[in-house]
Amino acid sequence: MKRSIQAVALMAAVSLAASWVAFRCPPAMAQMPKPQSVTGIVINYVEPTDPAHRAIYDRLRKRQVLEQYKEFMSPLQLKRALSVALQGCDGQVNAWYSNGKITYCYEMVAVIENVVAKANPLPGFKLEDAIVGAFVQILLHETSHAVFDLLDVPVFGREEDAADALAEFVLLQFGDKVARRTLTGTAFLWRALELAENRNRTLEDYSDEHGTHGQRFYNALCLAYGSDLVQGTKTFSDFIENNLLPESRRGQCAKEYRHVQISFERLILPHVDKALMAKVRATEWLKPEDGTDLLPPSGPPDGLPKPLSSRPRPG
Amino acid sequence: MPSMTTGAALGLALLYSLFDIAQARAQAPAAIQNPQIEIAYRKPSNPAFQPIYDRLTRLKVLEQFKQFTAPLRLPRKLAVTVDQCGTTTRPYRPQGPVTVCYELIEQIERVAAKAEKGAQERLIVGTFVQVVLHETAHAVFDILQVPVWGRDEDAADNLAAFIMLQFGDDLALQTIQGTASFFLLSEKTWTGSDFADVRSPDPQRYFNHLCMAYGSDKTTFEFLVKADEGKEPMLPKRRAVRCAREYETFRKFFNMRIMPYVDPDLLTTVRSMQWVTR
Repeated sequence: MKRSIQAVALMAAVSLAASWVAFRCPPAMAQMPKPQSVTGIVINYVEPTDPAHRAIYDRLRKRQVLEQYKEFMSPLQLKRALSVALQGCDGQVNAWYSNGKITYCYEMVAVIENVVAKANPLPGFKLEDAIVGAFVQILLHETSHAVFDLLDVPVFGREEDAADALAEFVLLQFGDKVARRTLTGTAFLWRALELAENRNRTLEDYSDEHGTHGQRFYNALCLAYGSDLVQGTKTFSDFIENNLLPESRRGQCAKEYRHVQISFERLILPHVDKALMAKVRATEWLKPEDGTDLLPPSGPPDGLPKPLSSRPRPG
Repeated sequence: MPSMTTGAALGLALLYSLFDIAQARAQAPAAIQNPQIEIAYRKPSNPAFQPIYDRLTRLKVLEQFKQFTAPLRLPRKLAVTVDQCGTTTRPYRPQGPVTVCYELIEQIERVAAKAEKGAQERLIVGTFVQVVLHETAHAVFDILQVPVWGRDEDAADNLAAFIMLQFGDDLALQTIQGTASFFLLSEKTWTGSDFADVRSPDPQRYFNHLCMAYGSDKTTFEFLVKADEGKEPMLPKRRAVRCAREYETFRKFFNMRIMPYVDPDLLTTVRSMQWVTR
């Protein structure tokens, strides 16, 4: 949910009035100090009440994920403050943005780790990348909702897909290692969740504002492949070699990537400090050991993994 | 190509009779039309489509569309054609025409034959309107350089639905319900790699249209959230509570990116005209 329209209008009116006053002020008054900015990201690791979340809380704090996130986001000049909290949610498995705050539930982290631990990876997809990639994509997906709201970015099409697209586009701008880990990791989670459904969807299932996990899986593959086509890289060539991305979709992927790129350049980039962005892009954000301390001790299950294709419905 | 059933032929006749009425009622001055839109009816090579071609040209469906879109100030020409495509849709490409395929009109007819007798006419008219607006939406996003973050097909659906909701309750009810019926009667089940399609599953498109409608007017579309004892409403509550925001958000973005290209005086004129209504 966004801030109410009335509040936004009031803030706009106040800032407009302020700028008018500044323009009209005689020179002596114009030298008054500028008011302190209210932008900036506030982070919080909330102590878990559920003992089952203690290990997650300790691990994420030790890794300084939110401190790193704050630094990662530093080039973006937001007009209003954003707070991000990792917290327990009374059993709710979710992460969401509302009214200037991102809430990321420990329950969500636990489910990611459980689902990934039980899933068969596709060739070239790694469990540790799924742990890391899924966590990061979900955080940036919610950040995208925040950005659309706080920067008043027009979004045509489903906002949930737009949030996926912006998150994944950003992750594709940090070199092939980050791109590979996070995009395959994201795709891994959507695929695992789609396969875990294991039941016929009802009509009501389609009423959700999100696409299905299957749709989100293919959207991620397509955007990643599209980045290869547009950037001239080969980070995701296995998506084609292993026939993960159907032929009928491949022809769209360069265009899909370009659409997101153009939207980013026109609507987000003007709010980005270019010097800070260069610094952030030169930083190594992921460590090779990220995600590895959570793998099941026996390693991934044996057996030839199957690509996500039309599968027979359970009888 | 299967021959048209009696029911489908009847439905086609109903569709065209409504456009006949609309043309008579519209009575717009000849000057009110979009000078940037160039229309064409391509003669089909398949004789099964000849009756569709004959009726569309007789009823001047595209000429009416040229009137309807008069307020939209496009910076360059846009061709809108009806054509035989070999498939139900021919994707829009930049600089290319908007195409409505005879094959899709025939598919609408076939689906309509599955609906209750009283709902067939509404399904045909509503879906036809949605299809023309949806295909034109792709061109509008391209020509006006509207940034589309989400999927193109969903964005085009949203714009089509939004426009359908701007011309009074009658037109809104008919076109939204007609379109929704078309998607609901789709028999395709979606699994696995079906989800790679650029189009969303028909049931999602069904709910997206209902949600835009309910979000635009909770009174006119109250029936979507009401249900008899023991039955589920058409629009589940979990989604319904989000719809006003979804609609208002879309309207805000429409005002930001598309409204600047709309002539407000021509819009008032076009909105005062009677279009396709019951």
